[in-house]
Amino acid sequence: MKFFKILIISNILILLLGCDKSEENIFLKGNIIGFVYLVDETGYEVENKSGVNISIEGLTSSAITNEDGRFELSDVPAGTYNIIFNKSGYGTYKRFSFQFIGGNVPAFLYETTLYEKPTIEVQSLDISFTDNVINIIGEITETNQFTFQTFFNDSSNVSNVNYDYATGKYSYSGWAYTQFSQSIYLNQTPYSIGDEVYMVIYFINPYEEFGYYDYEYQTRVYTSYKKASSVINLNLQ
Amino acid sequence: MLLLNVACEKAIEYEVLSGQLIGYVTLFDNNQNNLSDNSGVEIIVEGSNHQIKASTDEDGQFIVDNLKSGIYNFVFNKEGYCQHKIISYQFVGGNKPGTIYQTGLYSLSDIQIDSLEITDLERQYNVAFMVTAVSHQQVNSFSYYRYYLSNEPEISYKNYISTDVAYSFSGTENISFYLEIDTLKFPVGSELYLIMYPTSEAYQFYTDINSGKKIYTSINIYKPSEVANITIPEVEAPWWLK
Amino acid sequence: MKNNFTRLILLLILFSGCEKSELVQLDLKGTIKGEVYALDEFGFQNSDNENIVIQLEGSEPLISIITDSTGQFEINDIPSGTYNLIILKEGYSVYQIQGVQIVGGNEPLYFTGSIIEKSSTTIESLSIEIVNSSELYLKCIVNHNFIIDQWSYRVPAIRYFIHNLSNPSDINYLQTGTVSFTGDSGTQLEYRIFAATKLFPSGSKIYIKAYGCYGYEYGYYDILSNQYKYSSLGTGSNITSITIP
Repeated sequence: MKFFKILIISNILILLLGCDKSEENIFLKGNIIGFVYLVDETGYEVENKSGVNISIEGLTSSAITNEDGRFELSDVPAGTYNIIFNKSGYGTYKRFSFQFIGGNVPAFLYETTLYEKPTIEVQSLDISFTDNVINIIGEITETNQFTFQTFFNDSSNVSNVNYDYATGKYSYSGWAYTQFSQSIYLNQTPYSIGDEVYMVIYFINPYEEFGYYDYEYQTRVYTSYKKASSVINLNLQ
Repeated sequence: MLLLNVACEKAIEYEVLSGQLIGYVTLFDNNQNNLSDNSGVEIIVEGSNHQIKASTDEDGQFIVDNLKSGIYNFVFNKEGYCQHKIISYQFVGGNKPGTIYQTGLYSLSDIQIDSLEITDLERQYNVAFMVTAVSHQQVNSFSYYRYYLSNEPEISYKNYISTDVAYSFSGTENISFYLEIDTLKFPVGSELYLIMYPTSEAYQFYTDINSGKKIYTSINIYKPSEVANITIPEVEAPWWLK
Repeated sequence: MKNNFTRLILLLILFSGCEKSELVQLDLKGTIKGEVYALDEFGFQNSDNENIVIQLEGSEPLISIITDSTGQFEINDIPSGTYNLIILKEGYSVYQIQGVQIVGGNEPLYFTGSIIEKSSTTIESLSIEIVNSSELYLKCIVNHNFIIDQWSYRVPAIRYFIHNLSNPSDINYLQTGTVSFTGDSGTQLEYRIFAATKLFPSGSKIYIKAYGCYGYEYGYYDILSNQYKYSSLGTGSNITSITIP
């Protein structure tokens, strides 16, 4: 009789404790597949697309492309993620706010293209300021085409994502360039004579048209950005 | 009894969010005109644990009720039309319906390509061919053809390296077009294979997630031409590259 | 006997407890960060970006938020689900993005949208005439209070909606089109239109209603009706009808 009562009570306890699953969070998960294409600095498609690293910000999930540029991220839980594509020499592409619900069929990220960072180097740079114009003249390793962009800031922490003013992209296309130049009118910029201004120049792969919009830095970013100069302190006198 | 209890817990079913999906399909005839009656398209939903089917009404609308959160492929079929797919569609569910917007289904072109030939134009600095296809049918409007190039004899609309569209004027039997070859994709000395399918003037496709290839869904996959081939000839490098 | 009976009861209690099928939501919450621009009836930004109402139709209780003085907003803690995002402001056409799916998670969704002022153009005496036995001419008087010159980029227009039912409107139509206009208020417009023969064969009666509007396409897609809902429409005209020759 006593044993019988213990049995009932223990059973009821197990029922109440065991079958209560309302606190547990059930997440869906699944796989994400995509392809990455590579374009070199002369605009040609690179055949061997292996070695591109794909990772998800905030998760440990990562994958690497095979020769065909295909990658697969496995067992990703449902959520909204920033996905990062990176290959040494090609820079980083960031895809913002990808929503993933998970399921039996994998999600498909279609195609992402990475552009090779230009291999050209600046050999010398001459910067002067006269008649309210900032003049830049530089010597570079020989190339048939190149694209560059200049950034300005009132702090030495200037970069392609941290700036007050940026010029548009300037492209040169032709034959055996060894020099480039740029003139910037001071009244185009938010600065005046006597201000402390810093600038930096970057090269961009001429074939990269769009890049991506970075919502955190709130600026357009090209994956192939390569620093062409160090940070220069302009002397606006 | 304890064991029974524990085992019993595992039998509980967890439901995820579900909702309604509304989609629309428009049928196009051989002249690219949309039909007034879009009914009879069968939609198969892949990715669920059980088979889900739907079909369109006259307005081309189809509805899937109680679809669970997940990722699905939608396969569109109607006899006489080229099959189309929407792959990896993510569905959340909830109170408001989600949609796949408009999908087109294209009538299978009834043109038969009777012969296919590639001839070398023997250019000096680039590899260029003239492709000639013959169709003995009389056509009353522009007719379009999608051709595929490969370096393998097992060429098809699923297995290829590059693809493009050619067209011919009404009333003509011959379809000829100029084909320039990128020798980085098709090296000198290798064999080039070509196949053509009659198509509507549509560029609708879905991507094969294994090969990464675009599968075009306005071609008539049942009427391929024969496979033609030619060896990529040697060309001189132009003077500016020497 | 007694033992067997109690054993049976125990077994029943056991199994009945475990038959539950619980509804477990995807336990993620989403965020939308966005900005909305207000446009005047000609499609130009007018900086009236404050206090624009953003609602997520389908949320229970209804999630509703207003933009700050720069037109920006942020909605947090949105449960996973599918919603119609509705943007409203007095004097502006309602704008929607339907079927917005929210999964939720760590990263916000970014959204940019705009709303357009309702057209101030009014239409009088809308009529339709058959000219040359096959051509249809739409006629009306447009009343407005703006200056249109050849250098301005303002493109005022009227948008007409045709149906074979007697109550055509911007939400009930088979065919639609626009007619741009220039000229002072009170001008009579006369414009040839084509009624699609497939929709309106010879002998059928058509009904037309028109509204002042922005000259370019502006609107949103409505899932349930599979139709485009035009924005920037002002107050409607009278309905006119004619039988196709």
